[in-house]
Parts: sequence; structure tokens; C-alpha cells
Amino acid sequence: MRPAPLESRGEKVMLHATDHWLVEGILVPPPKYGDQLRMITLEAGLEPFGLEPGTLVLDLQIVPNGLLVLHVDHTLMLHTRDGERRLDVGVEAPLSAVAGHVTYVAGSAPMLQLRRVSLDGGEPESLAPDILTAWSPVMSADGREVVFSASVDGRSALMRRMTDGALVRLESQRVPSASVAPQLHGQSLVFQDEQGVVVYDLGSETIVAEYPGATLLPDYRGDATWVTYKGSTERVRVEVPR
Amino acid sequence: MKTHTQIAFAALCAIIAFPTFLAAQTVKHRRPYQGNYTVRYYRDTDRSASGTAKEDWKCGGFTYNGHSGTDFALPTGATVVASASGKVIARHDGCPSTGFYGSTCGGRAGNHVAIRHSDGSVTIYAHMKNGTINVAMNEQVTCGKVLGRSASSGNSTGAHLHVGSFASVANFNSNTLGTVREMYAGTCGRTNSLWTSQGPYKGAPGTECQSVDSDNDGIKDANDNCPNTSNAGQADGDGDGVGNQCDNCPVVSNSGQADADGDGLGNKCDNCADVKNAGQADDDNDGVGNACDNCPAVANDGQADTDGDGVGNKCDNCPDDANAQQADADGDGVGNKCDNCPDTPNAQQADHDGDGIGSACDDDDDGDGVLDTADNCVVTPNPDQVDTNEDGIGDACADDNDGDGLSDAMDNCPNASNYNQSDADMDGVGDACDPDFVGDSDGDGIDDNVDNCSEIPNSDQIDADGDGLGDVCDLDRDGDGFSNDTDLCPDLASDNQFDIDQDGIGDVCDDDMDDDGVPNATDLCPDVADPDQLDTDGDGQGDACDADAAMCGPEGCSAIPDEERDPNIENATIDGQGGCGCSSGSSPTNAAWLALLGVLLAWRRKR
Repeated sequence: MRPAPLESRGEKVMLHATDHWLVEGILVPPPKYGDQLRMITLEAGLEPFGLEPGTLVLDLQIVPNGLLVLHVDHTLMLHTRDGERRLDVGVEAPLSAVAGHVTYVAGSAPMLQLRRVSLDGGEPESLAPDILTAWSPVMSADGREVVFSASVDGRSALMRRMTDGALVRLESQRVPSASVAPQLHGQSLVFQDEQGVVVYDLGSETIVAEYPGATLLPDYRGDATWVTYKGSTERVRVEVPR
Repeated sequence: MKTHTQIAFAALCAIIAFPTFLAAQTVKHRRPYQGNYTVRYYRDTDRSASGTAKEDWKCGGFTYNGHSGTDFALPTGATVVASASGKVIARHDGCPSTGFYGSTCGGRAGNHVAIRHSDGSVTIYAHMKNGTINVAMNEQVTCGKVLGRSASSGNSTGAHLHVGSFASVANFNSNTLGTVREMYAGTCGRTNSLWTSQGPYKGAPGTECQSVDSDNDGIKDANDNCPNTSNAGQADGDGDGVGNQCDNCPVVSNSGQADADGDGLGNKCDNCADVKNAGQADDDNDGVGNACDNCPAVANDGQADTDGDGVGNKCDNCPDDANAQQADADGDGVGNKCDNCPDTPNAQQADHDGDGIGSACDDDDDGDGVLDTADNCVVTPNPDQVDTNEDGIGDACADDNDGDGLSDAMDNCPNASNYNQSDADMDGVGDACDPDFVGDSDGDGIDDNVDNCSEIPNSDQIDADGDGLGDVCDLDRDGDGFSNDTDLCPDLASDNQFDIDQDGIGDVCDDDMDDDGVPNATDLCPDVADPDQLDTDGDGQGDACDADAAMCGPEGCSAIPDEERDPNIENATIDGQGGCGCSSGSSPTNAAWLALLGVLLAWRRKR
């Protein structure tokens, strides 16, 4: 679990990466004392998908057949080499795409409902209709479970949507609250909140590791995830317990 | 509590039955905070095709790209107030007071309040301080009401108050938001300002609340105890300052109108204050709604749950061992978790040798090392198996008057065979010989001495004929002298077994006793099958059973009014001109016609 320094990337953010593809962008600096949406100007890795460098996006994920892009007008699009497909509107970052589906929240902030849609298109499905405000969802590797944050009884809560659709409230004082999607590796949930990055065990419902002041990076490979520390260009590799 | 709940529920239904929002004038807003803080960023009208330009309501650049509301330069801790009256439709508290760029906490808005106004529009107050939200879900707030304190929670890069305005939606009672809208009037803004006084460019709006009568009931909102619901009478039964028409607890004082679960019933009169249950169903009438009752079918207003497994003691099959699933493999009423024979029914849980294994499944009941099948004293420990007189009964249990395998000294009923030693009242005298014992043989919750059917479960104790014998074991439930299995109406007493239509259902309980498809109640001839219900003379009695039915012939029919009938002639007939007479009687003429008709029918069939 000991952090080890990695290479610097300056102001650029690696928006999303796999072993075969890398998309990079630059974080748009926000005004002070404001609430501008977290926006990223795309720079590289776009050409095969008809996107121009300079495109502003809220989030992006590489999926097997293209790029899943959340544009600044909150429209969720799938861009492939063959064209583009609109999947939903009113969508907020972050996106969680696995198993041919993408899970996200949509509506009018702050009233955002948990939804899922197939990358092949079709009608988006509401996953927790009774929850008025949800945020930062992540799907399990098989796409059957979702862990997300929600306003329950007017307070922040960590929720788990089980394979049968049942909603379970998990015991946790901290909940995901970043535009970078949490990561779920087996029973280990890695997420960022206002205090930093934590590794949370879904089985025991406890935090098993903390990285105060750290920021979660959207890229990950294999069995590890990546964090960076605020005010530093150093990155560290964190082994996620299985 | 129940009374309050029921009354409140009735009132809620009444409120729902009428439109909450009348055709109201456009709501205008006051300054949404206390103090003279100015605007820091306006909404981005964003009229460019690309959506990447920024432009405020005065066509200036005092905004940033994509900004959906107005940012006021409040420092941390300033007082945020409602800019107009309305109902709280969303609130969130718990996000850290200092958020960050990109935080999604609280749906990006951090700690926030959303209020729906009388015209259906919604105003949102965002990024407030953790722990300061001062209003409850569904609370009716008046203009100027303190909502909380400012901060920088959620997606925020410094302390400020973000105020967003959303247009009306079709369903006023929904929690959805309409489209984001501009509040300021100007060249690049809207035509009419949504502020009572929008103030100078980059300044602060005015502090005057709109003087309106949103519900048009003749009382200005500022003085109206239901500003959004017409109630000219201003009735307020519980005197809490909220009129009955819009009070979520009309009979219990609750000026705050707190409704934690948002089901429309205030906490104070909600039988599940934290679980949404607008119907307030409470099957066991214990004052705790089914939705949150840990024993929904058994009254337990205290909700005691010793093992904390979510199942109340009164209905917990292991009240001292947590077993939320209540698994009970052998169905004996004792959960697996605490059953000393989980796979063998033994409700009494007898365990003679105290080894934790119930006697019902213990191969060695007395724990003497000799299996029961070979033990000459099954429940009296005698590992040596000494049997001096060789009578097959060990010496240790030879003094066993009732022959139940227990020595008299250990037998709680020495003269009554009771191998199981059950002693329900724990008085040391076995049930089998205890004059005080009152059992519940059928386990229906009613003691045998008062159970009208002690061998068959019937917790409802229904006894239709009042003979003291419960219906489930009464061979003649209706007490009419006919046994149930031969009684054509087993649940309705009758001195006969008439069954006109021979359908196996006695006439007295047959809704259509002539089986003509017309219920007795509307049948013109209830005991004569007449599916066509002809009533030629219109006297309400069907022709099939009407002694003075119409006279019919080739020319048509004519009736003999009852008052014109010759009382001396039982079945009068009249031959019309060139026609014939017919009646329900059996006159020779009628008989002749019937015979002729029969011949004709037979002839047609042969052809």
C-alpha cells in the first residue's frame, strides 16, 4: 500500500485509458467563488471517432466500440467509427460503463435520478425511482449491481442496488462525491470525497484504507487503481485489496 | 395516535382531492438572504449555437459558461432566506461545508433547499453550510423564512449562494423540475423581472416580499395560514398557525410541519414517521404502521426487539437470538437459530438431560450413554442399566407408576403418562395432571377452556349459529338440523331443502333459484325459468308465472287487465277476431293449440 511516485503530466488530465487507447484533455480552470461545471477540453485520442480537439466534455469513457462522451449540454453520446448515437439527455458526470451498459444520474441538478441505458440504445431505465437525488454511481464488473451516493431522509447515504433490484443502505460516514467515477473491484469500492480517497469494503462496510487530500484519477489498469495528491504532480499507485 | 392518524389521513385525502395550486399570479422574489451582499455571477443566457459563449441578462459578461443561476457573494455563515412563500420539495444536509471543483455531493448543489411556489415554479438555494438547513421536507415556508447558512458545499470553489429558478411543471405535486429560467429583466434577459425589485446591475435585489394572494382566497400570503390553498375561513383546529386545509397534521399542533418521510403526513401524526406510507395501513391496530412495524400482524406498540434483528419479540421465533430471516425448517414455531431440534418439530423444546439437544431429536434423552432404543430407563440416567428384577425396567426408574419412563421422583405427573413433561405454566406440575393448566391444543392463540373449537385452529372464533361450537368444527354450521355435508345451504338456516333448479344449491341461498340466468332480485318469475322475462301485460309479473298473462294470436297480443278479469273465472281466455286465444291456463282450446304445435314440430324434424 506504500505510494510510489509516477511520471508527471503537468496540467493535462488523462481522461480515460485502456491498455490500447488513451484520451487526454485539459481541465478547464474554474472561476473562484463559483460553481462552474467541471469541464475538460479534449486534446488527443479523438480522431477515429469524429471528435475535434477542443471539444468540451463533462466526462468520457472508452468502451469496446468507441467513446462514451458526456457533452457540456449534458447529452450522453456514443461516438464510434461508424457514427454517433444519442443515449440520454440531462446527464451528469460521472459515467460508469461496463458490460455493455452505462449507469449515471440524470435530471435537473440537484434532482438527479439513477439511470442505466444500453450502449446499443433503447429507453433509459430508472434504477431507484424513489430516490430524488443520487450521485456518483459505479457498476459492478458484471453490471448487475450499482453502488451510489444518495440523499436519504435529507442526509448523504451510501447505497447499494443489489442484483434483484433491492436497495440497501450501507454503513458509512463518507460517500463518493467526485466527478471521477468510483471504482469497484470485487468488494472494494475506491472513491473520492471532500477529504480524499478511501478504499471501502462492501462486505464489512468499513473503510480499509484512506489517502487524505488525494484525488482519484479516472484511469486504471488491471488490478490497481491510481490516485494523485492535491497540489502535487506526483502520482501513486494503490494496490486495491481483493 | 391512531385517532390522530386517521383524522390526519382523512384531511390529507381532502387536500389531495382539491387542486393545491390555483391559477396563481407569477410569483416574484425578494433578496434571498439577509445583508447587502451583491451579485458575483449572473446566469449564463447562453444563446450561442455552440453553447460555449457566456452572456448575462444585460448582455454583459458577468457570468461564466453554462452557469444556470445567480451567484450572490455571501461569505460563509450568512443567513439564507426564502425569497418567496412555498413548500419545501427537497432538502439536503450533510455535505462538507467546503466542497471542490467537480464535487457531486447533494447532486452538485451541496447542502440545499428547493421550494415550489404557488405558480408551480421552483427556487433552489445551493451550497449551504453543513448542519444549518432549517426547514423540513414538505414544510410550508413564508417569504423571508430562514432556510440555513451560506457556505461552499458541493461543486463550489468558494463561499457563495447559488439561487436557481425553474419554470412550472404540469404536475405541481411532482418533485421534478421544469426548465431553468432567467430571473432578471433586460436586453438579453426576460421581459418581466421575477424580482420584486431586481436592483442595479451587479447589485442586490430588494428585500420586499411580494404582496400576493396566491390562492385567491382574499387573504394576502403574509397573513394567510394556507397561502397556497384557498381557505377564506382560516380554520386552524390545532392552533399551530397552519390552516386545516394545508396542515399535514390538522389535529396535532406542528407548526414546523416536519414530514421526514415526505408522505404528506406530518411526523406528529404519522404512524411511520420515517417510512413513506401515505395509506397509513396498520393491520394490527397497534398505532405503528405496517411499513415500519416490526410485528405487522401482532399488536406491539412498544416494538420491543431484544435481539435487534428487526423482528419484534412478540412475533420473533427467536426473540433472544438475532435471526432476521426467521428461518424455521421444521415449522414448529421456534426458529432454527434457537431451536434445540431444528429439523424435528418440538414446540415445547423439552430437553430432559439438559444437553442442549432437544429430547425430540436426542438419541440419548437422559444422557447416560445408553441409546434410547436400548435404554431400560429412557429419561432417567442409569449407565449401569441395573434391572434387579429383570422386568425390563431399570431399577433407576422402576418407581414409575404411570409407566411413562420417568421415575416418580422425577415425574411432574407421576400418575399420568407424560413423557414430554410439558409444563406450560411452569408451576412444577405437568400439564397432563395440572388442574390449573389451560392449554391451547390447536395453537390458535386461544386457550382451550374458552376456545369454541379447541382441536382445530380458528383464531377468529366464528360461530354462525351461536351454538357455542366454532364453525370450523361444527357439523351443522347454520344450526338448522341439516348437517353441513347434506345441507343445500350449509351457512343459511332453513327448514327445507328445496332446490327448484336442482343445481345443488338450496333455493334460500340460491341467487338464481330457477337457474334462468336472471337473479331472483330482478327476476319477473323467480321460481319459474323464463330467461326472456316476457311480461306482455306489463304488470311486473312475467308471463311464465302470470295467471292473467297476455292473450296472443297471429294478429298480436292483448291483455286482460286484472281489474277487468272475472273473478269467477280462474284462467280467462278471449278469442280475438280471426285469431286464437292463449293463456297460461289449460283450457281445452289451449290444449288443442299445443297439440297442433307438437305435431307441426315433429313433422318438421322428420323433414
